[in-house]
Amino acid sequence: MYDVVVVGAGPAGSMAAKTAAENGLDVLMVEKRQEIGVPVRCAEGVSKAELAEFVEIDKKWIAAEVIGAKIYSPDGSEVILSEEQAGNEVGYILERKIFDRYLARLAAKAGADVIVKTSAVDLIRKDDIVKVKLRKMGEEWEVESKIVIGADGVESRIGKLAGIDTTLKLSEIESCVQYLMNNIDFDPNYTYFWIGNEIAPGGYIWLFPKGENAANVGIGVMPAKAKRKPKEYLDNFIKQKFEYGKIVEIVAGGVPVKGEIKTAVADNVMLAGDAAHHADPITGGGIINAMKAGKYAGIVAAQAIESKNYSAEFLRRYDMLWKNDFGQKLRRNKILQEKILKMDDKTLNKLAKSLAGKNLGEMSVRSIVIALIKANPRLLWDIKDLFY
Amino acid sequence: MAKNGKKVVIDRYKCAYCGACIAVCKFNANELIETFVVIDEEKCNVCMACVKTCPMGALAVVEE
Repeated sequence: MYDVVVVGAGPAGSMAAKTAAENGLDVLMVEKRQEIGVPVRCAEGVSKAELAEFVEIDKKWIAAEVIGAKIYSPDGSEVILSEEQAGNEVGYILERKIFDRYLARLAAKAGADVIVKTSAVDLIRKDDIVKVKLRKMGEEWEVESKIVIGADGVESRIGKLAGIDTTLKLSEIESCVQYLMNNIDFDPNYTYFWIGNEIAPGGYIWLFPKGENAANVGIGVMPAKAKRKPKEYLDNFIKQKFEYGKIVEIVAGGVPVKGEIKTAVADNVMLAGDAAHHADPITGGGIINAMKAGKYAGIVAAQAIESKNYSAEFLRRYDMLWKNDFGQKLRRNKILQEKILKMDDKTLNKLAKSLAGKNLGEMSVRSIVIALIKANPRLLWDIKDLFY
Repeated sequence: MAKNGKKVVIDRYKCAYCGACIAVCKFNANELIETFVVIDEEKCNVCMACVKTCPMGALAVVEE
């Protein structure tokens, strides 16, 4: 019998497994894919300061560093958020293939068992424990566990099996495609964002540097708003901007942009990361929240084992922890997202022009919105209290 | 369920096995097994959510 079975070996799962194992628990982490970290579903950008709170930075999984962001409205108006000079890098672009494996190895090193090419296909609650049905290469068997942590991504089965409704509506997901491109020309000190209802309805196009003349160039669109597939919008954009770029990798994905969910726990079960819709509704960024949530889930798992109480009621402390940390930000950014979704391209251009030529400094959603409120008080008056 | 003789089919040459279709299925009618999406026609209600969400355009509705 395990204390904890963690389903999914992304950043949330590995942090949960690592934390639980470090607290002396018997942990099993299962990953349905045969290779951890592949294929990525992610633009790989992460805040430098926040990442450093979890792991010692290792150059092996840093693909690039950036000092800021450039955002373009539909008519090309540019908004810059950056540190004044190079040397003040605020963001990393990770090499997730290596990073995810590194985290999984930290979990293994802490004592967690790890198996790959294995899916969790059913949960059966019995008395106060859970039987987890696993399937590896066509063969099924069961393991018993006191707690299950579902870090099984946007397509989470664990949530649904445990009775937490995690199905996303077409207005609560971004449908994404990304190319790793070579032979393209851009300033590698910046990440880039292009917004607009024509180029990326309900989402945006991004460029995240991954070294010399190489970058993740991707798009997210909201299925409720988009008329075509994200791949078509992206191909269109690339034809105009990076005609001679070479595509050396294609990845796709769905990013939850639902905002804060009511609860990520059920009896014996906690959800973390994309499975709990922890990604940010504005940026779509999810790595740091996933790592935080994984860590909190591991801590609460240890407390639950210690108290011999695996009820939803006890596990609500996990809800408390992640909500206190980033729940408010998910709520705030959901409101902001809904506001932006209503804006037409003319309004987006007007907002971008109001900030043109200024460097807003800090690379954050808050710093953009505060600058926008200062320049356009009437347009954004109703949301100002969320950001001050 | 009323499906009017329709069903959802997957083009495996286009699928990038990202799981977005599973995230929007309220009938639990699909599963991503590593790199392999399977659709359970019994459970599928042909609601089109997965077809509209698929980033690659790998899902389509056909007449049975």
